[in-house]
Amino acid sequence: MREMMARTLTFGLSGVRGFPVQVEVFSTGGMPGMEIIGLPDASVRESRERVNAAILNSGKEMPPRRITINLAPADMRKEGPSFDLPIAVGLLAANMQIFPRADLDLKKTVLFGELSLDGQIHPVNGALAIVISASEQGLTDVILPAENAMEAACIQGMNIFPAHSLTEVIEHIEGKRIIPPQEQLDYETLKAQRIPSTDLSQVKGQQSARRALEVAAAGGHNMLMIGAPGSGKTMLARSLPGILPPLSFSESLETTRIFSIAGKLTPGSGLMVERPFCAPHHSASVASMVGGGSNASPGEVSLAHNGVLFLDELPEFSRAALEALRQPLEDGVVTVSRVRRQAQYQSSFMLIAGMNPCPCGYYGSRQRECRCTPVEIRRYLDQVSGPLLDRIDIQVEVDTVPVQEIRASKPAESSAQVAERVALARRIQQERYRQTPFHCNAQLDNAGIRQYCRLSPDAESLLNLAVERMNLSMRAYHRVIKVARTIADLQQEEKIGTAEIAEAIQYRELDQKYWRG
Amino acid sequence: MKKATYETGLEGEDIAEQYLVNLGFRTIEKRHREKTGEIDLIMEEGKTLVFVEVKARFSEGRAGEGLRSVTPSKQKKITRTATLYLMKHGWLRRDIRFDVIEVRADGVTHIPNAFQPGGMIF
Repeated sequence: MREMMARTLTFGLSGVRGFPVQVEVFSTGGMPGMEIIGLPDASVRESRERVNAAILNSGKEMPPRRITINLAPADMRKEGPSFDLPIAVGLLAANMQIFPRADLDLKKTVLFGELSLDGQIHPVNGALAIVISASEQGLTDVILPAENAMEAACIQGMNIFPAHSLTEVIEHIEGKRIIPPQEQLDYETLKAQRIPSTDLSQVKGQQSARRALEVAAAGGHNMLMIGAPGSGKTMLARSLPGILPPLSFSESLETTRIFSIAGKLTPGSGLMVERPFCAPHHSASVASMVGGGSNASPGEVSLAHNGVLFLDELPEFSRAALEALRQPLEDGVVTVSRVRRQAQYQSSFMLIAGMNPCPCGYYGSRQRECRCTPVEIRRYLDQVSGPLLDRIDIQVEVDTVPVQEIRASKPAESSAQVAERVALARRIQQERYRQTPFHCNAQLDNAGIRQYCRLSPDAESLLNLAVERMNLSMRAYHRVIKVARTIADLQQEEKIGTAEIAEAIQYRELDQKYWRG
Repeated sequence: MKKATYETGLEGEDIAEQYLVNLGFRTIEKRHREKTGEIDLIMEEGKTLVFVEVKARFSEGRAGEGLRSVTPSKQKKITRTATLYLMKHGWLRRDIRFDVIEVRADGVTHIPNAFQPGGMIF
């Protein structure tokens, strides 16, 4: 007949942020039953049945009492099965089935995890986001599903207790058997173990495209590759993450957090080291590109945050999907708004696009004759809008390499060799932009260009000539300078000379050839 | 000759009561009637008030058949009756429980805490 109250602590998710949720369990006599309140969604309400079975299967009782479970704050929507564990522990405490040891405060121990009917604990999405938010709130103790432990292992100053079952959690809380805490991992050791998935040495020939890729990687520039089918566009794009510097610790936290929320993280894996490479199919919708769905989940542009977004067959993408890229390309963040939810996700990525020069794919090729009419080609190319094209700094032609040439060619440079030069150029940029919000040349604004991109007088006049001849827009003009800055950084030159400007202009020529010809 | 259904019920209730008393339950009331229906047995186990629904099946059916016949709508009816009973006694905060007992020719099956009414019932 006694009335009992217990509280446990967990976190809910809203976008990439976690917010603390108090699980209040009130147990009283009266008509037996269990009610969960505090804006739970269907999966949280179902937790009642899972928790019931899990408690019975852990050798504990569920006395028939009137139980009210409140998830506070009551105005925030609670989603997902991660509330199972805190609810179960709260129930046990409110029904005097467990007695926490003296030095453990349930109100300061973060609990989350999905329960199976037999009392096992399953991994949940967003574990990293929860642990980061807990750490920001000054909390240190977290009991979480064992399979999520690696994600959290790199966060400093946390006591992470990986649990496999409800029984383990009960024994831990009662002090009968403490769960051995997760060993803290150093991000640098993780970084040392990385292996690039596609190595540049597999790309034969293609000297100019390889060079363009290196420049793009060094300055974080967007790139468009135009070429016949089978010319190696995809291979080139896939080897890009391998020549980019590995994610820094803070970048890795940002990217892994988004992956964790989207449920795209391989179970049991830790922080991501390699930059993400996202290659959505060209049937992708706007929502899958920028994020959406009823719970405003992140889209491809956010999954590619700090990495590469590769759009193969660019003109085949829907116009709406391509135009939706403009804002994230410009701002590096997207705000996804839905009726019930609004979420902001970072989306700072390198856009790499591949396309054929015409519908049949062989316009201008050495290999085969093109059989498209000028009107067909026009229509195909027009799928890619001017404003989008304007945001792509580097455009290159990739032509098919004849088989004989591939056989004869000597082994190409490996990713590791190129990565070294890229890393050096990136270090120069980091040094230069230490006091600024920029990370790489591609992010410079006009004021930044004036300050950091000094052109030699010869280079200046060459650029002016090109602007006149090629009828470049103001944006294109600035982009040429930014690319030239990167080329100079690769050469470790402080000043931008004619050679750098000439090469940068060359990466703009396709624009003329295809779209204005 | 086949026994009347009513008599079967009465006989079942007596067997069930005896069974529970042997387990240490105390009988409070038998066949308690409210306008919403009847509760076969009201017992007390320790401090917990137990409402018992008895299903007697002497001849037909297999084991468990009687237990399954306590459908959600029947549960609701029992719950309503129990609430009226509790209100009369001013016992809204007492620990209570709903049990179901199946009485067959070959034995008795007792399900303690057979169902929980859940949230609001009225």
